[in-house]
Amino acid sequence: MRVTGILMILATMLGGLQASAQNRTISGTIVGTDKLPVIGAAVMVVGNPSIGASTDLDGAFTLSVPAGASISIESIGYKGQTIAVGDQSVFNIVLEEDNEMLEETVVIGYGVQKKRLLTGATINISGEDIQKQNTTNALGALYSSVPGVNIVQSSGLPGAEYKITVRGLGTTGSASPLVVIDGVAGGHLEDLSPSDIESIDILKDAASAAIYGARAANGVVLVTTRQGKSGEKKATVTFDAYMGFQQPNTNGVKVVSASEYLDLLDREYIAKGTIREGQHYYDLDALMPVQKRWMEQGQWDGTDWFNSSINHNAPTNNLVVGVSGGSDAVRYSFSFSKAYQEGTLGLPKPTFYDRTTARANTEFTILKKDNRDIVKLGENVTVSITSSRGMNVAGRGGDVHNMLIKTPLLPAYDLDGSIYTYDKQLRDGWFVKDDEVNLLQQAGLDEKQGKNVRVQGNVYLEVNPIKELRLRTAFGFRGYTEYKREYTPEYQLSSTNYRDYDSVTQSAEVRTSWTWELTANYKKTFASDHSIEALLGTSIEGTGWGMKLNGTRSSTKFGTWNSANLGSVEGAVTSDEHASMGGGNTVPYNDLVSAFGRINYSYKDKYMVTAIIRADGSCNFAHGYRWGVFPSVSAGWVVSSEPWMEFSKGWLNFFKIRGSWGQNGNCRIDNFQYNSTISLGGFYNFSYDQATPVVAAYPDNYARPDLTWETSEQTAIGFDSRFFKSRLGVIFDWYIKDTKDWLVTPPVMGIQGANASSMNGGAVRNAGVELSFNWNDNIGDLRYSVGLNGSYNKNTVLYINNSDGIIHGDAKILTENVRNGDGFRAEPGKPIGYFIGIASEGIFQNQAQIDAYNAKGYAFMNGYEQAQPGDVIWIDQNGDGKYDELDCVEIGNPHPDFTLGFSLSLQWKGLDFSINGSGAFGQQVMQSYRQFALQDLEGFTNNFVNRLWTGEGTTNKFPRFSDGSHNNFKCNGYNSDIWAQDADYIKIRNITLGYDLKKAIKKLPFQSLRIFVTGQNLFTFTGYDGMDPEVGTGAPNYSWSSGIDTGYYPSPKVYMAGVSIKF
Amino acid sequence: MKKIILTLLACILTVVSCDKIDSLLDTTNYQKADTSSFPQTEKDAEQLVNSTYYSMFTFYTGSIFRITLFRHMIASDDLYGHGSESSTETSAADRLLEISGDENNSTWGSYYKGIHRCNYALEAIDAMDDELFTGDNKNWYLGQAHFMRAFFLWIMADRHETFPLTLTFDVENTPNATVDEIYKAIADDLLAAINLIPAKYGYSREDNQAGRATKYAAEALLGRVWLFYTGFYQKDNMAGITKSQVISYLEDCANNSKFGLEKDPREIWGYTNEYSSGFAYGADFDTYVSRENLHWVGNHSKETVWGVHFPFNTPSGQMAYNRLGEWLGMRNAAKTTNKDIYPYSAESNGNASVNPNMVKEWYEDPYYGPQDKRFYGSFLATNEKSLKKAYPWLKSDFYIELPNFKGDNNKEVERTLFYPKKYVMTACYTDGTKTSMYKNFFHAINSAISNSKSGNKNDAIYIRFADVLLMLDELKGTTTGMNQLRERAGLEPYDSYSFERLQKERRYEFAFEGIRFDDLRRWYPETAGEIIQKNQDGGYIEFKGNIVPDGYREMPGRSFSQRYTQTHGFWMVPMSQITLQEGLLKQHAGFEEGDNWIFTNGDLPYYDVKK
Repeated sequence: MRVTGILMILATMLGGLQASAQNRTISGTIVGTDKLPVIGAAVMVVGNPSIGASTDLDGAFTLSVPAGASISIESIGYKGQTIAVGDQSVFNIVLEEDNEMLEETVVIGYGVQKKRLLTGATINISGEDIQKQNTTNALGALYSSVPGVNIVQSSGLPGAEYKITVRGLGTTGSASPLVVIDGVAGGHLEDLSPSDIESIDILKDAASAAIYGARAANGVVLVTTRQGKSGEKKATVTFDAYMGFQQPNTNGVKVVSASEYLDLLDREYIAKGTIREGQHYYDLDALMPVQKRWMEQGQWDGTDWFNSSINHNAPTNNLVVGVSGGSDAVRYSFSFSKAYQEGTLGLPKPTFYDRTTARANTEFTILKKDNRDIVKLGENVTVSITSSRGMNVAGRGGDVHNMLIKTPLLPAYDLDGSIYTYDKQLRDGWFVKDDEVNLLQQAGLDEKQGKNVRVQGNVYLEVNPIKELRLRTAFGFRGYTEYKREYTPEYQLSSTNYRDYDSVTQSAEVRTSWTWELTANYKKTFASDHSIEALLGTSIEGTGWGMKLNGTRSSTKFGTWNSANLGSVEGAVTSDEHASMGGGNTVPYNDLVSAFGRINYSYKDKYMVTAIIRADGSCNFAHGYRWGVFPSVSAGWVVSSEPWMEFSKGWLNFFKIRGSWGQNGNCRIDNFQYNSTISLGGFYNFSYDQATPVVAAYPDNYARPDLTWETSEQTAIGFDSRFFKSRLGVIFDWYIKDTKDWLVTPPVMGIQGANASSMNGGAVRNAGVELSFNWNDNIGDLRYSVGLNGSYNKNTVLYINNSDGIIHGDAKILTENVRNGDGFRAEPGKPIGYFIGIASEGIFQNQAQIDAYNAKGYAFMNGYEQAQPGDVIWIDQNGDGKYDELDCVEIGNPHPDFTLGFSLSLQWKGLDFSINGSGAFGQQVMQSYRQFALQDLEGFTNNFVNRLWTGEGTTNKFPRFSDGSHNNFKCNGYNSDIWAQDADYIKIRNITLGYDLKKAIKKLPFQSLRIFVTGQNLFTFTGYDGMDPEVGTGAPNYSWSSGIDTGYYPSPKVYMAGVSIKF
Repeated sequence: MKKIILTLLACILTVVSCDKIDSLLDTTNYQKADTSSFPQTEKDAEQLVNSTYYSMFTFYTGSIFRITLFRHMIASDDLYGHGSESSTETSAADRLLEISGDENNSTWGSYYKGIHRCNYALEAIDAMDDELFTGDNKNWYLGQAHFMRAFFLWIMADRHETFPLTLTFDVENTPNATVDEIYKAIADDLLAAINLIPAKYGYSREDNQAGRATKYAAEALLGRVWLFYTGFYQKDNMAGITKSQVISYLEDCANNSKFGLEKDPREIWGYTNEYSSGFAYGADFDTYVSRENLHWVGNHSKETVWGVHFPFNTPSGQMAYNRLGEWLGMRNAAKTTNKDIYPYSAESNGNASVNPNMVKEWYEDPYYGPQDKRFYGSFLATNEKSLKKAYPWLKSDFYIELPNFKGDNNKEVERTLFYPKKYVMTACYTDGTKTSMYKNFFHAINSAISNSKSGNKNDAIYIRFADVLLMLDELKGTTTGMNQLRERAGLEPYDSYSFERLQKERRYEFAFEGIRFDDLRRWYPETAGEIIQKNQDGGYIEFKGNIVPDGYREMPGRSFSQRYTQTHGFWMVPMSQITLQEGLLKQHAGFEEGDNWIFTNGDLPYYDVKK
């Protein structure tokens, strides 16, 4: 609403303005050097792109231009030209073919480099492409264009983080890439509005990333925010806004109704012989007489807790205003943005994410001589204020999981629409289950408000004493402030789930960190053919001052949310039994001290070589283990520039082979693990009144004095190429990346008697190929481009250093009953976090099959029940007649073998259309939307019911219905492959249709006014029967596990419309 | 080119090798001390010793398998497994089985944490200057650390028989020690504790003394361990300690410790508190306790020579409570407190039911019978209607404490209608008007406690003074102790000692306290299994509301006596520790590949009974 309001005001204000000029008409034809007409070339007035035309089939154009204008001519595959119109009225223009198209520069860390001269594997995405996708987080816009980079959103919760994995998971420790924003490492990408981003560069190979050696083992994401440009004398003002609504992408998953549910149970207990045909397992007259009547009268058929919490048509909107411009002395770019996104789950209090950002990037030229900036001073600052309301989405016990397993027999609402409370349970004699809590009532209890304020940016000074030398010093800073107030009222949700007092908690936290770097860059070309560029630099990163405070009090004076604070409580703190107080602080220290150098050499822009070395010292390690030196070399050869390649000029415009080798490091662990710290967290009571505990001190971790750097070593070879007048681009990469000396925290032997510390524990190999195609062309006025990329990666653990060579994962990943062995683990020869369990070879379809197996000595499960049709045929791998640890095999791999990205965009006159998507193949997801811990009152989801074996030939994958204690569902307590599902998918991420009204209404007082509609995430093609095959969750507390779906917050479908104006 | 690279390299290497640069990275941990800087003062030393006690809390908050006391109660012939079908841990403990290969894993780690903390305290305090300590405090601290290490080692020996012995702060991967090495270590630690802890610290209610290990606790524990070792392994001394030495230690404890017997054996237990009986409010809620006019002596009884004491308030986020109460109570379908179950809490899980054969034996024994105060004081009977039908041998004056309590017919397995009550979780009215209730009477004592389960703060008692007296009788063949106990239980004294009398006295005095199982093991190392099986088979039980015709049954093919022969009552070494220790750690007999040790849901042998 707010956004439309502002729009209307702006439109009224600007509507009266008119552009006026004396125009005259020019015409001409455009041909290539081969004399053939260039079709669809864009002819535009410089400085006013709204006046333009494109050439027809004969290469001809006519255009009405203001006096004294210049026109620019651009066409894909040709070098652009600018011509002053003067008095001339007919133009015959010859365009030179552009064999390079690679003059553009990309960011490489502490500098920029011509794309043509790059010797490493990087991906460059322009801010424009990101902004077009209209996502709240810039990473959400990258899915389709980043081969070799796997992006998975951790959930569909608004503001949820994205997991980025560059060239395969490299460690069981911290595996996310280093994010560098405007040269400041470790920033928060989610704090930037996507519209603030000029470009994102992802450094994939070790050689490119080596300049950030210390923390580059998992790749580097370089973000450059928008900068003002000199020459834009008149300020450019942009205004972008969209609003839309969202629907959950549940893939039809719902919890079965009460009547279906009761039928299921009756069927089970009849089969088991507990009750006879016609009898019911639950005596509804005794357990829920009122609800039985409701059901008979068709007023109610159970509660689908999951669907009850859906927030239909959840709004999302965004507003960005930007101003940029520049002169010789000052360049500036400012922006302000506001984004709000509501979540599709979580009623009665919907989840949301709200972000306000303000950014100021300015640069001043202080001293200028001979048209050269000698001293420059500048700063980039972003401030973001976010607030959100989330849900616990991860794993068993998470909110989504709880909604899926909740019994349908408890009403969420009374017939009159009011919340069905515990009092109503008592009123109606609802006795189905002890301690049943109305989840919706519970979710509505807590009130919280708070904000996170983050400031990140840098100030820098650049001096160019001589043309070849650039000296730069930059001080980067990050500040983080969070404050929160939470309130829980008195409640009684069930007989034992109650609270007879209200309480309020307030907390605040401040954290700071800083970076200081000095670099010298020397660039010179000798004898016209030899170019050399050298960089030398140092940097120090530190943690600054920080503190936190929090307090809780109970029984507030007024007992309402608005009035509740720590002061609004009567009585002394000591008389408040629920009062608590906490605090903490950090004392400034240096984290990382580094020195680095880079040298690029190129000969005739044809042969190039780059060498990088970086040395880093980290305070996380002990003396003698602090320093890591990370070298890299890479080389490139532009084959297409060789004279003997002349023959291919007609179709091959550019071909560069590059190869690299390098090492990067990772030191992201907690400090002080190199010695054994003393915890004062213990206590005992040596007083008769038992009320005065004393402190107990003990060594709490196992010291690792020799702890040192994790190293990733990568060898990569690839080529960049352009064909057919550069209309087709093909990029290929091959790599082997070994990450060794993992910083892992493996379980210690019990006899060591203290908690584990990190150790240098293992190694993994990621090997893969990446291939991407890009086709740009035009047919008449229709410009189009098609992109397709794919990557293949294989993840194999090489060794693990602890005593048994395995890093064990949790057993209970899916259900309470599955509790033996590991659910997933890291083990040599297998991918990190692969799923392990007992495999099956189908379902017994009939008694004859059972008898046949029996005759062969099939190992039936222990216990009172022998196999019957519909039971799983478990594989007894070692044939010892039992199912145990020794029968566990690999039953799934959470990592996709192959990922795919694709995009198509069309532009015709003022109309633009784009569609893009991504896919992942070869991975498995372990899924259970049920606990199975003998909780026969848990809900069943329809996808579970649909999978069940219901008679001969119905399915050979999933067993018959039986109670949760049955070995069909837990195979002696081990994880099993009946829960593993292939989760291949293709998602259409974004479809956008836009129109620039300026093309139709030339009088509009804007440079452009584009309106658009976008649909995000509208289609998912998958065989997976859960909500969302893009599962961003693993086992809680295991960062290296993934692909475990116990109920998940699916990503929403978004429908939006917006406007983008440039003044 | 080459020159430039070399210069570059040289520059960087200079930077790296410079000490000044390296020292830029020195950081001080202001949040935590470390082993290089702690302990420095007497207070530090004391805190290190405190942590060895702190370790004990973790054994009481987790799974049933953590608590040796509980498992030994269930494994003995006094209690059945009971609980519900999903209480597989209880059913497994009752039948010397395990539910997974790793059920003892976290406990294993916890015990070693305790040992590790003792090791550090011993090494670090020993290295401190004597001048830093007041009086003989250094010895006091060292002695306590020795005691605690002996206690942890003994529990491990009792649970696992053999295990790696780690007596230093730095630990290498080591194999299981031999039984004799382990008992030698325990003996050394206990003797050190006896010698180091000043004799002046006996039973005390003074701050900083109440609940600490004393010289006398070490003497009593030495008696317990010595009796087990010499009995179970058929030896005449333990690490050179002879019977007469043990007698003199125990006599020292009996005579000089200021520990002693309470006046009524029932008043040691929490259920006799005066909030539940109404006495605290000047009311009479007409309970067993009010009728018998019992008054709980409170935690830290002078009879508790050694036990775990739980604090009323804990630092935030930390747990310290006695889970025994949660398990050893009654299972109530509604989980809401009502008058049928008052004064007991409705929120227990009901994981133990009293073996009716034991009740009958006790009831009909002319030397004991219902006149023994400990009889109705140790357990309670429920559900008058079913009870009378189930046990025709009950006379009409048999006291049924909860005649209307029905339990949970849908869930309970192996229900005998008798429940142990020494550790039972007890509720109370909030005042004399009987209008509202605290689900745990500790809430009335200390308002910080509002959760019925985590508010369970009864002492977990390992060694009572009564045990010191009975150990002396057993070692000396006297009746002195027995007769003191009989007198306070309202029974006639014995005129002479017999082994059988001693055995009975121990059984009834310590009923449901987790002592019987080890008593049987040390008296009958080879046949304890048969004895337990004989004593408990066929007892009346109900399985999910249905009477099991022939009563309590053994598991087909793995009866209690078979399992005992395999395991001798020891527990499984966690499988993941065996894996982690690369084959150096050995599994205990009875839990090896092929031993059929796993108990899973649905294994109980009663499913044919279900309608």
